[in-house]
Amino acid sequence: MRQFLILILFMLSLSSFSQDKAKFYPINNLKELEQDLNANSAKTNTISSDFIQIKHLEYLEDTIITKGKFWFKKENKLRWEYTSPFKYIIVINNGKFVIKDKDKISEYDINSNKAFQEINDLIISSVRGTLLEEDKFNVTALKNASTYLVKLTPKDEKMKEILNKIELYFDIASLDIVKVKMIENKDDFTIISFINRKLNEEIPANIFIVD
Amino acid sequence: MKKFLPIFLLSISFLFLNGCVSIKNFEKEKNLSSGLSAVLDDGYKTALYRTTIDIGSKHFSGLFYFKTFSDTSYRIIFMSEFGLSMLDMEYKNNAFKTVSCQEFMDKKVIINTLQNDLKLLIDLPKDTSKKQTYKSTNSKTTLTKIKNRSKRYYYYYTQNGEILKIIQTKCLKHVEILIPEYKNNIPQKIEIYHKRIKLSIKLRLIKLK
Repeated sequence: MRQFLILILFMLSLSSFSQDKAKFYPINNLKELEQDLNANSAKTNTISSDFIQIKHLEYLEDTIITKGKFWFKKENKLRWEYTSPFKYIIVINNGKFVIKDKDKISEYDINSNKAFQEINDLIISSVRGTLLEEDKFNVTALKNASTYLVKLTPKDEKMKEILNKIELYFDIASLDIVKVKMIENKDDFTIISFINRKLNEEIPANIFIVD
Repeated sequence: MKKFLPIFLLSISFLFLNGCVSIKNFEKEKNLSSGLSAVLDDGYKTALYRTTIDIGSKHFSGLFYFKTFSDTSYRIIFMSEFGLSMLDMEYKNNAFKTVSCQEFMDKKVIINTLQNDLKLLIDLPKDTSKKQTYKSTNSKTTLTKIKNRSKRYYYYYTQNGEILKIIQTKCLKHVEILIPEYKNNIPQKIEIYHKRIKLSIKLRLIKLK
């Protein structure tokens, strides 16, 4: 009985240790974190990565998982490609959005529409981890042993209706963005996790061309 | 001109009565039970369809998520590839309730059109008492025609009950749904065409539970 009690206490202490490890605490010096993230972003010229996107439908107790790859090249070139369970490509290049949906290619001038500009800024800033610079959000930052968590709340009420909050997760050691959580409402959110991330590797120019 | 007017009115009335749906090559059946059930009424817990919507020259895409519940209600969500919900609806007791809707989609004509089309997939008309069944002359296809107030429904289906085509007409409105491919009684592809407005919606099954 005594051994059993010790085992229970040991398990409880392990559980509280792991909770402590995961628990986030507020950061006081947000400016310093912003400078560190910007310095890290400044020395990153290219990024290529796989991603896993999981949409959580909390009320319906279900998730929708999609997978893909993305490539980014400074200043403003991006290919975001879903590979499973469907194929869908978005390319941002030379001031244009190009979307390939099966065999159909649609092209939009980013500057022709304010919404396109905002989507462009949001995607590029998320991938680069520079969303903190945007003055469209109220920013709070937290950290635990391994991760910085930056919470962004849109100032614009219309944007808030689409996205209630965005959470960015950065690895403390490398300052690379590892996860983006887009919270729509109390029931629904989407997490995009970046894996196999490669920095400053040569990316062929044709990656940013859709044909 | 006086001669032309009655002919014109007669042709218009035929147009309204028949809704331009031809039932030639079909013969009336007296003792044939229709055995009809909606295309997406059951046989799954959740279904995820890749969706493209073409309105005029504009092209949109996203995902349609269907979830069935034991009380025969449904939850249907149209979301973007990035996972953001654009239109979230609940279907219960023959009626839709909009749970949430993004501002750019929040237009009566868009929501009504989508809900009408989705209802054709998940449910049969509420009143099916005025129906007539026909058999194709080659006996391969059955057609059930249902009159429901001002609407007419035409269901074309195979001997094992797989619906191949649905036509719904109401005055000048004409919706045609084609289901060219099934696997285990679940449609793999669904194509919806609105004849008098340039609108087409195509769904392709990508995940089923």
